[in-house]
Amino acid sequence: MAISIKVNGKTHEIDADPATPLLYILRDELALNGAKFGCGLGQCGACTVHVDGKPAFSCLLPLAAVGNREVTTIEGLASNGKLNALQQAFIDEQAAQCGYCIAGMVMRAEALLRVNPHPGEEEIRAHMQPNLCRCGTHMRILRAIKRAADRSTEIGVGHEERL
Amino acid sequence: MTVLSRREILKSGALVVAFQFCSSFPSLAQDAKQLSGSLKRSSFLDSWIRIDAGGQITVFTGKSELGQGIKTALIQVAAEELCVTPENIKLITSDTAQTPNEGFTSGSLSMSESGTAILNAAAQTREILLGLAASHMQVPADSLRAVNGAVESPDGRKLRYAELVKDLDLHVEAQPVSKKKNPDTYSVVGTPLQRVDIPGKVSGGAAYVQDMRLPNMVHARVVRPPAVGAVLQTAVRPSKPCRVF
Repeated sequence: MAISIKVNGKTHEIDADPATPLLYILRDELALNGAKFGCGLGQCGACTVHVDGKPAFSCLLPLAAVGNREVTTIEGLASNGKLNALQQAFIDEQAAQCGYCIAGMVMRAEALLRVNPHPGEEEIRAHMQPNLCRCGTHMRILRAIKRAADRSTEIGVGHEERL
Repeated sequence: MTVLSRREILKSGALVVAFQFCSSFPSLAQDAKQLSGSLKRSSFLDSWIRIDAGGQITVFTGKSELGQGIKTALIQVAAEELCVTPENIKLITSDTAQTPNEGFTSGSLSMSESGTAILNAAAQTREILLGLAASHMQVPADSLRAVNGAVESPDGRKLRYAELVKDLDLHVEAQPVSKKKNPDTYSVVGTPLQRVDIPGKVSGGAAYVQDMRLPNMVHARVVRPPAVGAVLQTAVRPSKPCRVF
């Protein structure tokens, strides 16, 4: 039985076991590279995507549980080929070593900035807690998130308007 | 009968091997020993650097980008010795059909093996280009300089690399000694350059081995039995193509 899901604004009919983790559908059926398989246990955050704007571990979320909610992956952040402010901030801060965790980091941080465009250091740290980077790029990641938040202050618009 | 110790057998064995190798391939054994880094294994310059008719420079490495940043670093090395900007270098990494075989990418060896090979191959390529320009311009090669993808003479004449490639033959073996730039004059190596792999990693680009998707590709998975001596009797095949070995 085909299951319908909406990913990055587009609806897909997926013929798969309803228990299949969303991550497998994103990578294997939809050929999206952004969300990564890290631990498969919701302990590392490499698979983080948005489900109705909230960060979710796609490795733990069964296809059947997605329902009508909108899934956004990092591929869905850029518009007309232009990276969004947070993605650009990660480049500006060179906030990646191996980069395997980065798509998940960006998605989790993006979810924060959408509800709180100007988070403080402590808010960022608490919010990013579920995502791990084993290269140890955390300080650059924090700087990138702050850079994106500060930039929205400088130009005087909310994060949503910069997307 | 003389009784030899194990140590002496090893010593004499090693001598025999060395002797045979040197006598069969004297020049190869000597030159390969003197070549730097992975040039020992792949000694032709065109294994590392090619310049097409339009002047596009392509550099090849057998080492893989695993997030350690070697793509960016190797581009810097090539750009430095070829006297071009990093944007002018196209780098192909670990493609078995195209690049030298450099074995494993591990042990912090990529720069010392591949980086050294590219450094020397690029320096030697630049010297060949200077030599070609010298004969075109009828001036001594050592009076010329390579600047930003072109060879310039003291009297202001200039030949772009693209204008020299029709006479350029890089299918030549590397020399043991290269005329490398003095590090004091470096303008690319040692200066910050944004990592070329990061934009793909923040946008869902293909960046890792598991992002490769080939036609009819299948994934392998080892399924272990729950008990010693257990034998696979049946396997439920999913609707998608699946092979059980």
